Amino acid sequence: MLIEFELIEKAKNGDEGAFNQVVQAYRKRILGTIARLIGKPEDVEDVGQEVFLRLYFSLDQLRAAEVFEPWLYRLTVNAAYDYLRRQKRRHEHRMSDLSEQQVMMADASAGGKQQAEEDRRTKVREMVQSLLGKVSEEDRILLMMKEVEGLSLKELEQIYKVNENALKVRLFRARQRVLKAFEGQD
Amino acid sequence: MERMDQGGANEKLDALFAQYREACPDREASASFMPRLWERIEARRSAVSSSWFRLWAEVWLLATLAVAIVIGGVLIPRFENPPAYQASYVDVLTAADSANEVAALPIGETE
Repeated sequence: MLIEFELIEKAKNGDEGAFNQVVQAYRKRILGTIARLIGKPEDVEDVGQEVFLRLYFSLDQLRAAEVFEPWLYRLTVNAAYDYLRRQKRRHEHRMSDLSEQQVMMADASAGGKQQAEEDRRTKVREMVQSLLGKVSEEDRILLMMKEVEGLSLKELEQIYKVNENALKVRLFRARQRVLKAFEGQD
Repeated sequence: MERMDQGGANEKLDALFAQYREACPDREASASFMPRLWERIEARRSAVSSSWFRLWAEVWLLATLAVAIVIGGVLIPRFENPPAYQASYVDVLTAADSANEVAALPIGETE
Protein backbone atom coordinates (compact mmCIF):
# COMPACT_ATOMS: atom_id res chain seq x y z
CA MET A 1 0.00 0.00 0.00
CA LEU A 2 1.28 3.43 -0.91
CA ILE A 3 -0.85 5.16 1.71
CA GLU A 4 -2.26 4.69 5.20
CA PHE A 5 -5.70 3.13 5.61
CA GLU A 6 -6.67 6.16 7.67
CA LEU A 7 -6.24 8.43 4.64
CA ILE A 8 -8.59 6.24 2.61
CA GLU A 9 -11.15 6.35 5.42
CA LYS A 10 -10.90 10.16 5.50
CA ALA A 11 -11.34 10.37 1.71
CA LYS A 12 -14.27 7.98 2.01
CA ASN A 13 -15.87 10.32 4.54
CA GLY A 14 -15.71 13.22 2.08
CA ASP A 15 -12.38 14.83 3.03
CA GLU A 16 -11.28 16.40 -0.28
CA GLY A 17 -7.74 17.03 0.93
CA ALA A 18 -7.38 13.33 1.74
CA PHE A 19 -8.80 12.42 -1.67
CA ASN A 20 -6.19 14.68 -3.32
CA GLN A 21 -3.45 12.89 -1.39
CA VAL A 22 -4.78 9.49 -2.49
CA VAL A 23 -4.79 10.61 -6.13
CA GLN A 24 -1.29 12.04 -5.85
CA ALA A 25 0.03 8.83 -4.31
CA TYR A 26 -1.41 6.55 -7.00
CA ARG A 27 -1.63 8.60 -10.17
CA LYS A 28 1.89 7.84 -11.44
CA ARG A 29 1.37 4.09 -11.12
CA ILE A 30 -2.16 4.21 -12.54
CA LEU A 31 -1.14 6.39 -15.49
CA GLY A 32 1.71 3.97 -16.24
CA THR A 33 -0.64 1.00 -16.16
CA ILE A 34 -3.15 2.80 -18.41
CA ALA A 35 -0.39 3.74 -20.86
CA ARG A 36 0.63 0.10 -21.17
CA LEU A 37 -2.96 -1.09 -21.43
CA ILE A 38 -4.25 1.30 -24.07
CA GLY A 39 -1.07 2.11 -26.01
CA LYS A 40 -2.13 5.70 -26.79
CA PRO A 41 -0.02 8.14 -24.75
CA GLU A 42 -2.12 11.18 -25.68
CA ASP A 43 -5.25 9.65 -24.11
CA VAL A 44 -3.64 8.34 -20.93
CA GLU A 45 -4.46 11.37 -18.75
CA ASP A 46 -8.05 11.43 -19.92
CA VAL A 47 -8.54 7.77 -19.00
CA GLY A 48 -6.63 8.34 -15.74
CA GLN A 49 -8.98 11.17 -14.78
CA GLU A 50 -11.91 8.91 -15.56
CA VAL A 51 -10.48 6.31 -13.13
CA PHE A 52 -10.15 8.84 -10.29
CA LEU A 53 -13.52 10.36 -11.12
CA ARG A 54 -15.11 6.92 -10.76
CA LEU A 55 -13.11 6.43 -7.57
CA TYR A 56 -14.46 9.70 -6.13
CA PHE A 57 -18.08 8.75 -6.77
CA SER A 58 -17.76 5.13 -5.68
CA LEU A 59 -15.50 5.46 -2.65
CA ASP A 60 -18.48 5.26 -0.31
CA GLN A 61 -19.14 1.72 -1.60
CA LEU A 62 -15.67 0.52 -0.60
CA ARG A 63 -16.16 -2.10 2.13
CA ALA A 64 -12.75 -1.84 3.78
CA ALA A 65 -9.63 0.22 3.23
CA GLU A 66 -7.64 -3.04 2.96
CA VAL A 67 -9.19 -3.84 -0.42
CA PHE A 68 -8.52 -0.37 -1.80
CA GLU A 69 -5.77 -1.37 -4.28
CA PRO A 70 -7.69 -4.20 -6.01
CA TRP A 71 -10.67 -1.81 -6.09
CA LEU A 72 -8.59 0.90 -7.78
CA TYR A 73 -7.15 -1.63 -10.25
CA ARG A 74 -10.66 -2.81 -11.01
CA LEU A 75 -11.69 0.76 -11.83
CA THR A 76 -8.55 1.10 -13.98
CA VAL A 77 -9.25 -2.11 -15.87
CA ASN A 78 -12.87 -1.08 -16.46
CA ALA A 79 -11.95 2.42 -17.67
CA ALA A 80 -9.27 1.02 -20.01
CA TYR A 81 -11.73 -1.56 -21.32
CA ASP A 82 -14.38 1.12 -21.96
CA TYR A 83 -11.78 3.21 -23.77
CA LEU A 84 -10.65 0.31 -25.97
CA ARG A 85 -14.23 -0.55 -26.85
CA ARG A 86 -14.94 3.08 -27.81
CA GLN A 87 -11.81 3.11 -29.95
CA LYS A 88 -12.87 -0.11 -31.65
CA ARG A 89 -16.25 1.42 -32.42
CA ARG A 90 -14.54 4.39 -34.04
CA HIS A 91 -12.57 1.97 -36.24
CA GLU A 92 -9.32 3.53 -35.37
CA HIS A 93 -6.21 1.69 -36.46
CA ARG A 94 -4.27 2.21 -33.30
CA MET A 95 -1.42 -0.05 -34.36
CA SER A 96 -0.64 1.49 -37.71
CA ASP A 97 -0.07 5.17 -36.98
CA LEU A 98 2.28 6.82 -34.56
CA SER A 99 0.53 8.75 -31.83
CA GLU A 100 1.05 12.50 -31.48
CA GLN A 101 3.11 12.15 -28.35
CA GLN A 102 5.31 9.48 -29.88
CA VAL A 103 6.00 11.78 -32.80
CA MET A 104 6.72 14.66 -30.41
CA MET A 105 9.01 12.46 -28.34
CA ALA A 106 10.81 11.31 -31.45
CA ASP A 107 11.24 14.93 -32.58
CA ALA A 108 12.40 16.07 -29.20
CA SER A 109 15.04 13.41 -28.76
CA ALA A 110 18.07 14.81 -30.47
CA GLY A 111 21.24 12.89 -31.18
CA GLY A 112 21.85 9.55 -32.86
CA LYS A 113 22.12 7.25 -29.84
CA GLN A 114 19.12 8.71 -28.05
CA GLN A 115 17.17 8.60 -31.29
CA ALA A 116 18.12 4.97 -31.84
CA GLU A 117 16.99 4.08 -28.31
CA GLU A 118 13.67 5.87 -28.80
CA ASP A 119 13.21 4.12 -32.16
CA ARG A 120 13.78 0.77 -30.48
CA ARG A 121 11.22 1.56 -27.79
CA THR A 122 8.71 2.73 -30.37
CA LYS A 123 9.25 -0.50 -32.31
CA VAL A 124 8.70 -2.59 -29.16
CA ARG A 125 5.52 -0.66 -28.30
CA GLU A 126 4.17 -1.06 -31.82
CA MET A 127 5.01 -4.74 -31.93
CA VAL A 128 3.30 -5.50 -28.61
CA GLN A 129 0.27 -3.41 -29.52
CA SER A 130 0.05 -5.23 -32.84
CA LEU A 131 0.24 -8.65 -31.12
CA LEU A 132 -2.40 -7.64 -28.58
CA GLY A 133 -4.65 -6.67 -31.46
CA LYS A 134 -5.07 -10.43 -32.08
CA VAL A 135 -7.10 -10.93 -28.90
CA SER A 136 -10.27 -9.34 -27.54
CA GLU A 137 -10.16 -6.20 -25.39
CA GLU A 138 -10.95 -8.27 -22.27
CA ASP A 139 -8.14 -10.75 -22.91
CA ARG A 140 -5.75 -8.01 -23.92
CA ILE A 141 -6.21 -6.27 -20.57
CA LEU A 142 -6.07 -9.51 -18.60
CA LEU A 143 -2.87 -10.55 -20.34
CA MET A 144 -1.28 -7.15 -19.78
CA MET A 145 -2.19 -7.17 -16.09
CA LYS A 146 -0.54 -10.57 -15.69
CA GLU A 147 2.44 -10.42 -18.04
CA VAL A 148 3.39 -6.75 -17.98
CA GLU A 149 2.00 -5.38 -14.72
CA GLY A 150 3.13 -8.56 -12.97
CA LEU A 151 -0.02 -9.14 -10.93
CA SER A 152 -0.44 -12.57 -9.36
CA LEU A 153 -3.42 -14.83 -10.02
CA LYS A 154 -4.62 -14.11 -6.48
CA GLU A 155 -4.57 -10.36 -7.17
CA LEU A 156 -6.31 -10.86 -10.51
CA GLU A 157 -8.94 -12.96 -8.75
CA GLN A 158 -9.66 -10.04 -6.41
CA ILE A 159 -9.86 -7.59 -9.31
CA TYR A 160 -11.97 -9.67 -11.67
CA LYS A 161 -13.96 -11.51 -8.99
CA VAL A 162 -13.58 -14.69 -11.05
CA ASN A 163 -12.07 -17.92 -9.71
CA GLU A 164 -8.43 -18.71 -10.33
CA ASN A 165 -9.04 -21.67 -12.65
CA ALA A 166 -11.25 -19.67 -15.00
CA LEU A 167 -8.58 -16.97 -15.10
CA LYS A 168 -5.85 -19.52 -15.83
CA VAL A 169 -7.81 -20.96 -18.76
CA ARG A 170 -8.52 -17.52 -20.16
CA LEU A 171 -4.91 -16.40 -19.76
CA PHE A 172 -3.59 -19.57 -21.36
CA ARG A 173 -5.84 -19.20 -24.42
CA ALA A 174 -5.02 -15.50 -24.82
CA ARG A 175 -1.31 -16.16 -24.49
CA GLN A 176 -1.45 -18.99 -27.03
CA ARG A 177 -3.15 -16.69 -29.52
CA VAL A 178 -0.57 -13.97 -29.00
CA LEU A 179 2.24 -16.53 -29.16
CA LYS A 180 0.94 -17.84 -32.48
CA ALA A 181 0.88 -14.30 -33.89
CA PHE A 182 4.36 -13.71 -32.47
CA GLU A 183 5.76 -16.84 -34.13
CA GLY A 184 4.14 -15.75 -37.38
CA GLN A 185 5.95 -12.40 -37.17
CA ASP A 186 9.28 -13.91 -36.14
CA MET B 1 11.16 -30.37 -31.31
CA GLU B 2 8.05 -28.27 -31.83
CA ARG B 3 7.59 -28.13 -28.06
CA MET B 4 11.16 -26.85 -27.75
CA ASP B 5 10.49 -24.24 -30.44
CA GLN B 6 7.42 -23.11 -28.56
CA GLY B 7 9.47 -22.98 -25.38
CA GLY B 8 11.89 -20.67 -27.16
CA ALA B 9 9.07 -18.54 -28.50
CA ASN B 10 7.58 -18.37 -25.00
CA GLU B 11 10.85 -17.06 -23.64
CA LYS B 12 11.11 -14.54 -26.45
CA LEU B 13 7.56 -13.39 -25.78
CA ASP B 14 8.34 -12.98 -22.08
CA ALA B 15 11.38 -10.93 -23.03
CA LEU B 16 9.27 -8.80 -25.36
CA PHE B 17 6.76 -8.11 -22.58
CA ALA B 18 9.63 -7.12 -20.29
CA GLN B 19 10.96 -4.75 -22.96
CA TYR B 20 7.49 -3.32 -23.38
CA ARG B 21 7.28 -2.69 -19.62
CA GLU B 22 10.58 -0.85 -19.83
CA ALA B 23 9.54 1.05 -22.98
CA CYS B 24 6.38 2.34 -21.23
CA PRO B 25 7.57 3.39 -17.77
CA ASP B 26 5.27 4.87 -15.12
CA ARG B 27 4.73 8.51 -15.99
CA GLU B 28 4.21 11.74 -14.15
CA ALA B 29 0.94 13.56 -14.66
CA SER B 30 0.91 16.96 -16.30
CA ALA B 31 0.30 20.12 -14.25
CA SER B 32 -3.29 20.28 -15.48
CA PHE B 33 -4.16 16.79 -14.26
CA MET B 34 -5.57 17.72 -10.84
CA PRO B 35 -7.43 20.89 -11.93
CA ARG B 36 -9.02 18.98 -14.83
CA LEU B 37 -9.96 16.13 -12.51
CA TRP B 38 -11.70 18.50 -10.10
CA GLU B 39 -13.48 20.22 -13.00
CA ARG B 40 -14.84 16.85 -14.07
CA ILE B 41 -15.85 15.99 -10.51
CA GLU B 42 -17.70 19.32 -10.15
CA ALA B 43 -19.39 18.87 -13.54
CA ARG B 44 -20.56 15.36 -12.60
CA ARG B 45 -21.68 16.56 -9.16
CA SER B 46 -23.82 19.38 -10.60
CA ALA B 47 -25.24 17.01 -13.23
CA VAL B 48 -26.20 14.58 -10.46
CA SER B 49 -27.78 17.29 -8.29
CA SER B 50 -29.69 18.82 -11.23
CA SER B 51 -31.04 15.40 -12.16
CA TRP B 52 -32.18 14.96 -8.52
CA PHE B 53 -33.84 18.36 -8.69
CA ARG B 54 -35.56 17.39 -11.96
CA LEU B 55 -36.72 14.12 -10.42
CA TRP B 56 -38.16 15.93 -7.40
CA ALA B 57 -39.89 18.48 -9.65
CA GLU B 58 -41.43 15.66 -11.68
CA VAL B 59 -42.58 13.86 -8.55
CA TRP B 60 -44.20 17.04 -7.20
CA LEU B 61 -45.86 17.78 -10.55
CA LEU B 62 -47.32 14.28 -10.74
CA ALA B 63 -48.51 14.47 -7.14
CA THR B 64 -50.20 17.84 -7.81
CA LEU B 65 -51.92 16.44 -10.91
CA ALA B 66 -53.12 13.41 -8.98
CA VAL B 67 -54.54 15.58 -6.19
CA ALA B 68 -56.26 17.85 -8.77
CA ILE B 69 -57.85 14.82 -10.46
CA VAL B 70 -59.09 13.45 -7.13
CA ILE B 71 -60.53 16.81 -6.10
CA GLY B 72 -62.07 17.52 -9.51
CA GLY B 73 -63.43 14.08 -10.28
CA VAL B 74 -64.44 12.63 -6.92
CA LEU B 75 -64.63 15.14 -4.10
CA ILE B 76 -66.34 18.11 -5.84
CA PRO B 77 -69.36 16.13 -7.17
CA ARG B 78 -69.75 14.42 -3.78
CA PHE B 79 -69.91 17.67 -1.78
CA GLU B 80 -71.84 19.63 -4.36
CA ASN B 81 -75.30 20.84 -2.91
CA PRO B 82 -78.30 19.15 -4.57
CA PRO B 83 -80.39 21.67 -6.60
CA ALA B 84 -83.24 23.23 -4.55
CA TYR B 85 -85.78 22.74 -7.30
CA GLN B 86 -85.78 19.97 -9.87
CA ALA B 87 -88.69 21.45 -11.85
CA SER B 88 -89.50 24.89 -13.23
CA TYR B 89 -91.69 27.43 -11.39
CA VAL B 90 -94.68 26.70 -13.68
CA ASP B 91 -94.36 22.95 -13.08
CA VAL B 92 -94.36 23.52 -9.32
CA LEU B 93 -97.47 25.73 -9.50
CA THR B 94 -99.29 23.15 -11.66
CA ALA B 95 -98.38 20.36 -9.29
CA ALA B 96 -99.57 22.38 -6.27
CA ASP B 97 -102.82 23.30 -8.06
CA SER B 98 -103.68 19.69 -8.96
CA ALA B 99 -103.01 18.64 -5.37
CA ASN B 100 -105.47 21.30 -4.15
CA GLU B 101 -108.10 20.06 -6.60
CA VAL B 102 -107.82 16.49 -5.35
CA ALA B 103 -108.14 17.72 -1.77
CA ALA B 104 -111.27 19.77 -2.60
CA LEU B 105 -113.22 16.80 -4.00
CA PRO B 106 -115.61 15.27 -1.44
CA ILE B 107 -115.05 11.65 -0.57
CA GLY B 108 -117.13 9.21 -2.59
CA GLU B 109 -118.20 11.91 -5.08
CA THR B 110 -117.59 11.07 -8.67
CA GLU B 111 -118.15 13.04 -11.80
